[in-house]
Amino acid sequence: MQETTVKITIDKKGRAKVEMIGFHGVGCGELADKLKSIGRVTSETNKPEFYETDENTNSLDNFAG
Amino acid sequence: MSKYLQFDELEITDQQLLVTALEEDMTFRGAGRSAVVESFASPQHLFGFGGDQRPETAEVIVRRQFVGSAANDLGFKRQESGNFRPIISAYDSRFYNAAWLDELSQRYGERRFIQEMHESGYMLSNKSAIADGSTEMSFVAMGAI
Repeated sequence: MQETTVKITIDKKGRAKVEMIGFHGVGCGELADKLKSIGRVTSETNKPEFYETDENTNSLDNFAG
Repeated sequence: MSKYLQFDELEITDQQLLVTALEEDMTFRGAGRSAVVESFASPQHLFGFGGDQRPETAEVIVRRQFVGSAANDLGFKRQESGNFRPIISAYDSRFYNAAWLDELSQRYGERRFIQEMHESGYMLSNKSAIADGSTEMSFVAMGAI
C-alpha cells in the first residue's frame, strides 16, 4: 500500500494549498476536516481514490467520508 | 493523490502560536528577532511613543521599545470570531505593513499546520523555502517511519 503523505505549501500572502497523497477511504476526509479549521477553504477537490474502500475498513464507514 | 484543499486565508486564532511566531520568526525594528511579546488572558491597554496610554487594548502586545524608535505599542486583539486582529498605528504601519502581516500569517500558518498534523499523527519530514518565497512542507504518518 502506498504511504500516506501530506504536502502543504504556504505562499508569501499566507495562502495555503494542501495535497493529500495515498489516502484511501475515510481517513482522508477526517484529516481534511481537522485541517479546514485552520483557515478559509476556497476549494476542495476529491480524487478518485477518495471514494475507494480501505481493505481494513468496514464498508459502511465510507458513507461518513 | 486523494484530495486537495486550498485556503485563501489562514485565520490566526491560537494565541500561543501567535506569540511564538512573533518572537521567533518576525523581525522588529527595535529588537531584530529578539522582541519580548506579552500575552494576556484579557486585553490590556497599548501605550504610545510618549508613554501615553492609548484607548486600544489587546491580548498580545509588543511594547514600543521593541517595535522601533519613536514607535507605539503593537497589539493583536481577539475578535468575537476568535481571530486576532492587528492594531498598528499609522506611523508604525510604514514598516509593519501588509507585507509584514502577510509574512506573519505565513509563519503562523507553518506552525499551525505542523501542530495540527502532529496531533493527527503525522510528523514533518521536510520543510523548505522555494524561490517565490513560499514554504513547502511534507508530512508522513508517524507509524510509517
